[in-house]
Amino acid sequence: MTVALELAQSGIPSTLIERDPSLGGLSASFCCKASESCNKCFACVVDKRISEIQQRQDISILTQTEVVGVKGNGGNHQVSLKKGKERIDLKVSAIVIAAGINPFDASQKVEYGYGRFKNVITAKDLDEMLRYRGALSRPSDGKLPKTVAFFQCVGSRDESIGNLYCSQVCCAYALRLIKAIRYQYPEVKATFLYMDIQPAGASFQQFLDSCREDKGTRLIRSLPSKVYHSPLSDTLRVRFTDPERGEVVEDFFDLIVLSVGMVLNKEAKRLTELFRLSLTEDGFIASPPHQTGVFVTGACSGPKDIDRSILHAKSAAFLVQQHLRGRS
Amino acid sequence: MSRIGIFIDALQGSLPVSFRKKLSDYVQKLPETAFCLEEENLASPDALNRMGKRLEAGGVEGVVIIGGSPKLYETSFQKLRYPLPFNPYLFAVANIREQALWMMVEEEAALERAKTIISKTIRAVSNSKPIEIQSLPLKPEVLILGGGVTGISIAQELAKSGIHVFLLEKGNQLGGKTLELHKFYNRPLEVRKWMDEKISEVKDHPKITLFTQTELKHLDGHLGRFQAKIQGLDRTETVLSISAIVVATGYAVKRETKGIYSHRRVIVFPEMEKLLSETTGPSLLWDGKKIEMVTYLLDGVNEDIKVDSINAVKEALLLQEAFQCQVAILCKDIKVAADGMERLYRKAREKGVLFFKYEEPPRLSIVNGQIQVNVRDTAAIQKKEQWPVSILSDLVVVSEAFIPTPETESLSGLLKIHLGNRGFLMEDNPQLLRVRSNRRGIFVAGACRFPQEVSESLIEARAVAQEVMALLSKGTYTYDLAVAEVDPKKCAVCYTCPRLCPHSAITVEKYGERNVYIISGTGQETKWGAAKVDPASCYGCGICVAECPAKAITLQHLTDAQIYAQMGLSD
Repeated sequence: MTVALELAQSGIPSTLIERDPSLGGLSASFCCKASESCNKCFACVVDKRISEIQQRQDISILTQTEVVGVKGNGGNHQVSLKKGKERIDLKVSAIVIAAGINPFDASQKVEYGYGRFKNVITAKDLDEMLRYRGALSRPSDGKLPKTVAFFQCVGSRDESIGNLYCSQVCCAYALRLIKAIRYQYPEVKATFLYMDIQPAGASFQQFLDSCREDKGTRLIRSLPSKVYHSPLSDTLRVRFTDPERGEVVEDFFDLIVLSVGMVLNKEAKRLTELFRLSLTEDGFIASPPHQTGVFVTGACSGPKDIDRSILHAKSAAFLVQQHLRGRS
Repeated sequence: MSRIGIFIDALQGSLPVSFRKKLSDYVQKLPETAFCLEEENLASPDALNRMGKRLEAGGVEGVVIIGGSPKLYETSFQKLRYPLPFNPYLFAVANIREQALWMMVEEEAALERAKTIISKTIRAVSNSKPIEIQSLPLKPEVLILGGGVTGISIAQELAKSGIHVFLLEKGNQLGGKTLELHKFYNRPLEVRKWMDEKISEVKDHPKITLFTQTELKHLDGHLGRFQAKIQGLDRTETVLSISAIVVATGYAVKRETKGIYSHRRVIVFPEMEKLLSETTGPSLLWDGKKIEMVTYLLDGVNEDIKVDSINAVKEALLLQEAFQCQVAILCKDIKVAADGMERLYRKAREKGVLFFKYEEPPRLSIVNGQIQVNVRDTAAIQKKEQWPVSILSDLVVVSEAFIPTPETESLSGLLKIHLGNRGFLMEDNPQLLRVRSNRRGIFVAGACRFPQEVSESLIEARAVAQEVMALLSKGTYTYDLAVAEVDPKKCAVCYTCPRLCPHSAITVEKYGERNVYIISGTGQETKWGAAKVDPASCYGCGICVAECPAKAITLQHLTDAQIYAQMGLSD
């Protein structure tokens, strides 16, 4: 959306093709993570962009539409689209691919029991719960959990499942969720189990310090090894090493949130074949040379938060304009 | 009395027919009503067309839409605005559905409420004035402060797009801190070579005027008409008139020099990079002696900046592979949140680089002319493994604190832009306008806002170029006068508003036709000084309006008269 808006500002019309029924992608389901003040999660920016883009006449929006074929290169591309049963052919001068990501499928980490235990959810599930239901509750009985554990690096920095990269956003994302929950429900105690905390942007240090000062939040450098379920109380027993005590401990939690990493959108793989693009070592889309007239932007080119995706999109919009100018 | 055209929007049936009938009866009786039309769905293209035709026929000075939330109409209004010869500020929406019909249980009560809302809206529209759209010519000329990698890249990109760039560098050479790097972490390139190419391109480009050893001394004016006074080494002053300014002045570093940190064998990153780039032989020498053990001490300062972490892993690999050194990296958190960094980190571990994560700061001491580093590793699982590890090192590389350049504070005063976190320059609104400053036409980019990695700076540079192009490419800046305006006759020049304006859009000038007084004795005419709002820079927030002790400032689209009329307090 940002690329289209930026191009529109310079008088370049564009067509936005979205496979889903609505715009916004994954980030449209994110909730605001403010506590007493804004924690810079950027979720509101997405809503703003959606309403902005719908006011423009020079951007045509095709939802529930898929690309089925592409011909040509450089400054002349012919794109065939499929919208329901309808076939549309478009002639365009440049193509921008911003296919986005999927959250990592947490059930691949069998030891955490996602999909088997009701009270093990992903950070995305939690985010949607807070956005659409407006309240925190335990999936098994709908009660407010007293203790919540966040497991970091689920599907990131993990060679055993083949993702040898850092998803870059989950530390700040999970800490913001903790901050928002602790603000709304001071009685809920949070535990953040991590490997390394990755900084995110200019004011992150103050934010992290405030998390460390919070007595209801424990930050523990340790990734848990296994989750056990106790059917009687529906609580979850977690085994991890406690670096403070220097031994393996077990602790009980009412709710476990898995900070799932990013993987390239499943549908985007089809696009890369269609456009004959290559993937990077980490499984994201590699940027082709500028003269092909195909540009890749956003998190499908490598993990990015909303802020950096917008910045990346702006820089892609600039490249598109250069490409168009070079042609005319 | 103004004649108001009224449209009742049934919102596809969510205003019931009987209710609509009563509303329309009420409206017809009002003296201001010119006509009252009903539409099943006002947002539909057909209805908008009919609305346009009816309004083109004339006879009305304002329009009130009776229907749902104004937000529903925003989109259609935007579309209406262009084909219609009708000022958008003469439209108003009476939100009957949400604020009356859905609020009240009884239809009678809802009707009463609706009547009040409608009459208030009509009164407000009757007191509205059309607001003009103006445009300001913008020359394709931009000033960039700072000739580091960000400044250079922005200059290149803008020059390619046909913008004339004045590039100002306070030092005697371009390149900034990037030149201190030997290699990139993610590209098999020598930084020096890559930068030299960039620099020579900038020097030779006909669209780039380069000023080295030059500083900004003074800045006047607003967007499109900035007047920048710059001063070179020979104290000659030049005045540049530019449309926009990009600040890319980078960062400075502060080195800890107390105690052991002043030891010959404790060095900082630029020194290590220099050593690596200058060494040609098979082993690394320091004071003529071979280096075998290097320890990196990270996160003592700027814990939230990943640059040092990235450089340490990159250098460690080079040291282990090319110079057979043993390297240990001591940090609080290893920062791998950059593309490809996890792989590099993994490779470093495989090659035998040692990583220690500490909580209590490691202790340094001198043992036989070498530096002994004692660290307690928190990542060790067993308690007994957490005993302090002693590393006898030939060289210890420590981080320098990233701080704002010494000029940042005075620059923020000169440019009237805000300082933020730790004294770095601040963006206007981190959510929406990452590279824009609080003043329209001034942008902040690169490490003067927050120190970052070179590849990130390059992306940011292009994003800034895009923002500048979006502003300048049309050659004019179009804005409507829905902004604050000072009545110069009422202004007491108390300087409240220039100080409060978050966007520095207000200055004190001598202007205005009615603002004349005669100097006693001479009979000469002169003008009072008075606050003046630059309409192209004003965001229309209304802070100055509320604060002006003399009530000399008015928001053109929300005047006191309008508010009083709406409240029924006029006359």
